[in-house]
Amino acid sequence: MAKEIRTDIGKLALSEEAIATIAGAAATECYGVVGMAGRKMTDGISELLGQENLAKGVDVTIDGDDLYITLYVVLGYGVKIPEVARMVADKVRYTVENLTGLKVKKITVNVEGLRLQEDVESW
Amino acid sequence: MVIAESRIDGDQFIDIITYAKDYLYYRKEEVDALNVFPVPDGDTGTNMYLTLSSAVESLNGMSGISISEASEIASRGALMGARGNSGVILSQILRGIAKGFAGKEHAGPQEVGEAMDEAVITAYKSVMKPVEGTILTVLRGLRDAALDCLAFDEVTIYHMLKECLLRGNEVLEKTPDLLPVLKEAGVVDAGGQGLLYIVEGALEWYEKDHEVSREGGKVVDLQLAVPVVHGEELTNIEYPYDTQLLILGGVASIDLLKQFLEPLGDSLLVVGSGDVVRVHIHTAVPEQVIGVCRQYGSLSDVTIDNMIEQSKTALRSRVQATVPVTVEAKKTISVVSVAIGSGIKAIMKSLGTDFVMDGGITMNPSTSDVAAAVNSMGTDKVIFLPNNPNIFLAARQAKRLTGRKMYIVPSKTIPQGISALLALNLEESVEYNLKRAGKAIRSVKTAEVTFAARDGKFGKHTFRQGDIIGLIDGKVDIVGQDPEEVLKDLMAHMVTESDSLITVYYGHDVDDETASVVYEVLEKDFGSDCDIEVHFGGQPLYYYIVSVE
Repeated sequence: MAKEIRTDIGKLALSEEAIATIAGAAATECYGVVGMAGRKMTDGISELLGQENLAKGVDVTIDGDDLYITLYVVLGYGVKIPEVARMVADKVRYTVENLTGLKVKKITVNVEGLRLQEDVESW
Repeated sequence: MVIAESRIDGDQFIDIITYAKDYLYYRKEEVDALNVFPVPDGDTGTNMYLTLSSAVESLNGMSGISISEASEIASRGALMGARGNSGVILSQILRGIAKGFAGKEHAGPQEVGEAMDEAVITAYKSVMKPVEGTILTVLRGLRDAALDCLAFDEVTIYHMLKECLLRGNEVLEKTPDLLPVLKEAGVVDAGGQGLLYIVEGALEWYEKDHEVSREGGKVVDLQLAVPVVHGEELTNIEYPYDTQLLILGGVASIDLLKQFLEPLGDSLLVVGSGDVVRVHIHTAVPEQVIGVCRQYGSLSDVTIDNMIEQSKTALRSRVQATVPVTVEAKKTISVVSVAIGSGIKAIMKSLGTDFVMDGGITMNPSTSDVAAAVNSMGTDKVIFLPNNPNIFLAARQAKRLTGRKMYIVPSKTIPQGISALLALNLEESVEYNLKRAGKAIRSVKTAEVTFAARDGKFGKHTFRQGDIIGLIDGKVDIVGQDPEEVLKDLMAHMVTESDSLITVYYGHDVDDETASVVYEVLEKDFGSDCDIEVHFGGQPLYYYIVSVE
């Protein structure tokens, strides 16, 4: 369900998908996160279609004024997992609250996997 | 030339990283101040320092090992102790360096270049969308500079580091152009700055090194360059004797030796490599330093310089730059307090605390943290407010370690600490102040609203993980679901006719709007008998901390 916000000039509806996109974009910028783990059917479909899906691996539930965000992330092997998970939660909360003005009640970070990348990519 | 210009071995790697860690120590607050991201990671410098410390600690007592082993151990240490975003990145940088040095006995310029290249590759591997204008960008600048240097014949590691620092600083200056949030705040990237300080520290190690090597000595001179106000007259320093010596025969516990020496002065350095330990300290009692060290082994190369005399005659300008300035001559009592949360810390500072240490709630300072904070004060008498019962033990131990007269006010909560601060009048005697503070502590009641970290039972209350719990003076009083409801109920239990002031410090997880609602509710219920004050505390985990008096 979309979240409706009343403003001076009318109603604003913010969909769960939009919030999930913000959260996903924030999470993938966090150091230590190498990918998101898709959970939903739509994730699979957009993957098939070759679209970039920023909301992948993000579940958003709106309950009244509160947001509940669940993230499914893949981390790089060899980072300190609890530290990275904490930073992901902090950054997602900050970014979502800052951009939407809504209150994030709870963030759950699920570490779905670790990626061992030995193929050398040059930067 | 004793120190190899062209390559470094494991022992030198250990010395360099140790030196760089200490170098960062004196600059971590400066790096902390560069933060822009308001909520997370407000302590980049501290996090990088703690991460690097963990790397150095894991190398404690090692010597005669290859650079491959030394860098591998450091990398593991950094991983275990990684703190915060920049700390995690730093641990990955060290991991890359270890990869680059793998299997090598020692490293020359070529190997250092390769290690830096590995550092970039490894660091970038652990992030999906690298943000530019950060420590990663600066790291790449360092690597590029190092690789460029390799094009020249006869390049030394020293010159490589110099070039890296130069180019690194250029990249750092440009970080605001790459990351708008930095530009808005008008700062450069904190993590990048921290990384450059580590390089700068390594470079300074080399410079000190060469100085000693020219004189024919074998042991690295580890005098630390403490940033000071230039042109300071050195007539009024507390620890005038620059004392240095070697202990031969191996020291069982360098940490223990440090603990004994710490109270005797400042700028303490105890550095060991196998059978030889070097001690450097600025002290007023060199004879005591020698006495302590004598118990650990036979002494050699003892030098005691009077820095006041030296500064007068300006024989060695180097020394002048290494003496910390003593602060505030007139005050006789300082106050050190422990708190967490930007709002609470600011309130404590405004009430005359000289130094507010981070701690309480989740992270308790160690004995040596407390002792170091007390020792950093410019006065002989220091009043210490732990503001948490879990810090009492560390405080009592620190009292024995520090060279100051340390007085502990037994404040168990933040409100007790704030009341005690209000009661202080530092122009009066310590005894008078302790009495006043003790009385203030007893007159205030503390309520806290937080959540249960796990299922549990306290007295007749059982709660499940995530439940909101309300505490009065540290004891569970109410279990509920909503922080504001619990707060309201707590107040109903707590406030009596004799109370006249309710002060609410709301935490990091409570927004201003909710806080103003809380104010209105309390004003309605208790406003007729009490003054209500609501302040931003900024503390984590605790929604509300309330004092009733």
